[in-house]
Amino acid sequence: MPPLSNNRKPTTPNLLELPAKLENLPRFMTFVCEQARQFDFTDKRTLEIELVLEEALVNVIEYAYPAEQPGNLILHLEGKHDGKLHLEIKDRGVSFNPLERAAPDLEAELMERPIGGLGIFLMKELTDGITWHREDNENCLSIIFEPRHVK
Amino acid sequence: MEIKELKRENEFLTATLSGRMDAITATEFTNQFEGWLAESQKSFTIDCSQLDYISSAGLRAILIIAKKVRALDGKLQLAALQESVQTVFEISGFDKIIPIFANLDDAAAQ
Repeated sequence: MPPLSNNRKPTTPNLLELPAKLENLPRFMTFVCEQARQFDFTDKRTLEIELVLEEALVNVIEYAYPAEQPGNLILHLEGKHDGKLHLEIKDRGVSFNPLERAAPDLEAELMERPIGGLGIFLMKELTDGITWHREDNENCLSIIFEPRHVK
Repeated sequence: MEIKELKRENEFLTATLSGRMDAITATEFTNQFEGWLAESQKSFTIDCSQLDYISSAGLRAILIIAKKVRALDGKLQLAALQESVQTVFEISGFDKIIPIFANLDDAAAQ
């Protein structure tokens, strides 16, 4: 059996498409975390990936589709053989760029601290590349994780 | 995720939080603490030694309760955070707005 290395090709399947429902969150999370382990990412880095991923997925689950028109969330893992984890999160819902949301003031005192906005901060802080674009009526959020995050 | 009341002593209710506090489970936290607040319980110590994961949804739930507690002149403090959970608190600056203690004894002695 070949040793695990950063260059190891992720095993298929590399695509998971399920209804954008909160109950499917664990399946999406497990799908990515198992791949991250194959990349030899540390436990700390896997945790950071989990944090970012949960936020990105919950954004789609909560905002992409109106209740009367449910749709799917598509998670795509690209095997680029560069030792980095490349993810794409897509939906066919309303146009929404989560990266445009303002990050919260982390120095604010308890009562002044806004309730929302933390997730987007974590997404920007813990990734090594995050972009959004709209294409063919799809929202596409592309995220890159390096094995060790330096910021 | 599971929340269990451990004891009530010197105006503080101590509860243990275990498992994963995420977008699915965070409302259980809010509901439980709102129930305690409705019983006029105002000060809390949360033992986080069994808490394996917290996401921004979990932090939001803690922030909502921390604000309600502060508005009632109560206290909300955490104890015994695992390293990974501590990291999330530090990244988000929550370690500056919520008192965090190394263990339950230190929390009780504050």
